[in-house]
Amino acid sequence: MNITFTGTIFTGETLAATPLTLEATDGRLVSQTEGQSVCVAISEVRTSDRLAGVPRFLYLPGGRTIETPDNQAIDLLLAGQRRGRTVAAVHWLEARARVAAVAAVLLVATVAATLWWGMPILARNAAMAVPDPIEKKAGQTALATISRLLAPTRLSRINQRRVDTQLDRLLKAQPLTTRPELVFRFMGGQYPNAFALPGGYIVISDELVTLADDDELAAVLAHEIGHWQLRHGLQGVLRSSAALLVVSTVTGDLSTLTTFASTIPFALLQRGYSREFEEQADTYALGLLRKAGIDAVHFASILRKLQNTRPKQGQDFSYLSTHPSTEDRIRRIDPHGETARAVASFAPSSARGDEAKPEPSVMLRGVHPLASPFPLYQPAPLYPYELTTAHREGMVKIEFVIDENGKVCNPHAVGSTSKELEAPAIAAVAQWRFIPRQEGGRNVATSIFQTIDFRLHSPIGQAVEPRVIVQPFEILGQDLSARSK
Amino acid sequence: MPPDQPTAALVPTAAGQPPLLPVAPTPVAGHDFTFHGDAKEYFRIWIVNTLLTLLTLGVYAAWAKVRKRRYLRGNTELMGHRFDYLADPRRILAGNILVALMFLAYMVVGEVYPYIRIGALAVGLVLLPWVVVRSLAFNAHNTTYRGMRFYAKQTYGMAALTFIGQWLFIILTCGIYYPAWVRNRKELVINSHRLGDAFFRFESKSGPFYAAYFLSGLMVFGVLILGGMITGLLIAGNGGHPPTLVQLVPFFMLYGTALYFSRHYLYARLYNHIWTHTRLDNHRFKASLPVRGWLKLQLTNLGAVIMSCGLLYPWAVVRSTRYALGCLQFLPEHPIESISRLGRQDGSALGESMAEFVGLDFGL
Repeated sequence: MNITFTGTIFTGETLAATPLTLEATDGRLVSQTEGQSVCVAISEVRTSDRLAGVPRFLYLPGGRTIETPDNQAIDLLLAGQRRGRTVAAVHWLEARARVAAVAAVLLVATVAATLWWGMPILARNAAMAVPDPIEKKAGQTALATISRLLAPTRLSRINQRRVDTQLDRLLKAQPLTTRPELVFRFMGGQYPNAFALPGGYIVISDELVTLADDDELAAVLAHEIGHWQLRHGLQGVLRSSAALLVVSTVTGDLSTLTTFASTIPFALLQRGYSREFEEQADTYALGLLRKAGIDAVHFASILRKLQNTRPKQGQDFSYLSTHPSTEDRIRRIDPHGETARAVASFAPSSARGDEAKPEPSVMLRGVHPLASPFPLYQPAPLYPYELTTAHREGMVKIEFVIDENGKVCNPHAVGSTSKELEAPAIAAVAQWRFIPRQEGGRNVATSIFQTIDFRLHSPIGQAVEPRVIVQPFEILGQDLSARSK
Repeated sequence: MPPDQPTAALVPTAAGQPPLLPVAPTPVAGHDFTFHGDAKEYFRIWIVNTLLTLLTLGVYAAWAKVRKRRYLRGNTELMGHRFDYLADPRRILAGNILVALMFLAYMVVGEVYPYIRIGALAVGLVLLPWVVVRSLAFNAHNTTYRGMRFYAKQTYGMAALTFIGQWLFIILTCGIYYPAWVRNRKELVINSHRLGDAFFRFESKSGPFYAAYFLSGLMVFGVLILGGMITGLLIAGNGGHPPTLVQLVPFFMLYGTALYFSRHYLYARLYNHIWTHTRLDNHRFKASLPVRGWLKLQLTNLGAVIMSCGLLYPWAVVRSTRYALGCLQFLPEHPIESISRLGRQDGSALGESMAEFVGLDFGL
């Protein structure tokens, strides 16, 4: 097989360039141009790899170089030599638009997958690497927010001591390097709640202490210790900000965390922890309870108690709403217990990753269509404690959408007398539940405008009593955008 | 950037004698640099090689680098011939592995003995000039034109003086010396290069560098003041509370864009200045990159790259390269065919030395 091609030869001695024609025959490369003697075995010629339309270079033994735009001839030459197959494969990939399209999709998918699965792992490692003093400091920052929001406890010393004893009981079974610090707060009498802040601060509402018996308190504490030990609070902060995560991972400087920690209580009050975190804390709690010789039945029973204390339609209390499907959890914790207890028509839905639950429409179908959403559960916002002591009243205007399932979407403040009132108001509204409006036999979403007043009632000779008044809502219209959600 | 930034080194002259310059530069015919790269083609190469790099957990990165660089150099034409890039990917891989191992050792040992980290940083500082010199040599040596390799030779001492000594001086002068340092760095890099027996040489004072840095600094400063005013307004609007991060986002964007602009403004000005004051023996270069056109180009590049989540990066590279090279001319004083090999090693395209077994390659 003869291959003929033209090119330019360089001696390597000077920059002089001489055009020439070459022919490949019998495994040798021979010059056809007079005055240029080239006669080498092709096997001794090194060539540059095929790369799009870039001219090829042949490196002859002895230092001479030939440049040729004839890619096809060189490819044939190499094919005859059975060389350069790997590179030919790469070139084959690079030359195809379809391959490029697939590669682009794969690349984006890989990056997205790395972010999706890699971020939580990175957040976990980063959170675990935070030195204890910085974690403590982050916790103190978060605690400061709590103290601004929630009133001091009204519990008696005896009741507080009860919780202390349970904590001692757990710590005796499993000593920790530092003892968690219990923080009691009054949450307006409506919220049996507890949450763990970084640094080992466990905030417990008076309502929860009153509701639970000793063993149940131990279960709650074990669960919260789990959140703390697994550093869920810090992980949450790191997960919420990719930038913060990258910066703190790369630089190893985690002190920036503390500035973000003041948002932890808001996040916990509004959304709670993710399902994954709750399950991890449950598992941790079960292990700890076993060591302390406390039956898991008590854990299941406090969850059930919390579920039963809510209004008869069976809505979420904040403690539960922070926790994914309570029934699932009870089933996990106490598989032989009485789990089939009928939950009210509104199965508690978790803050995230909601599965399809029985909808109100199922229940109400055949009755009369509702012209306006009907409120089922409207816990009032917390009056921020620091404002009650400062004798400051105010008002917040909120807009939100009630979706087809009766849940609140996208609550946001559209006006307020003071910014400090907005976060608690939004936190409360996010938990509200409605029977959605119906049109033509179908549930429809509705835009709502809501005013909430924060008033202070001060009877003569008595302590100031905060009152939060949820005014009747106004319908702004049917919201189509909510449907896509 | 096109092939290595050519610059001239002094032709060895008698000691103390200043290099000879042509007395009256006679007008000579300029030869344009032409870039033949195609955005679609380069996109395909880029995406396939990036994906292969990812799938091989970074091992393929060396091959990908060589292919991408070969595409850019192989599509750069001057006087009818292309540049070539010859680097052996296996050496770059060896360099990558070396760096990765050093970093790993630094991390692992640092965990156990934290004080060693400081010592390691000091060693790194001492090694830096050596790395610079090796990178220059590796890059130059693997770039050829008309079958002849470029060559870069620099002493460790000179590099250390520039990269460590002068840096200290910058700190001492609170940064005032910085533009002069940039000039000296360019001089160091350019003057260390040669092609055969033709030496690159950079002839410029620091003044133009100061002018360019002053103007681009002014741009950033103006935006900083604007940003400060916005922040002040936000604080006032918040009732005295510091603004939240979210509120600062527009400020960050503004600031980022200003930095981007000032960087490319600097690039265009210095590109023109450096090339125009660079000689290859008595051959000269002429660059006339329009600052306004360049900024416009870079603005669309930025927008496209951000909007496409980085996928249009190769498109931006091809556009920038074509634009910048299209504004560059080579003005030979006499036929360049007379440039010939110097010494024995550098003529051969296969000449390799053990010193280059590890391909350290860090762009400057």
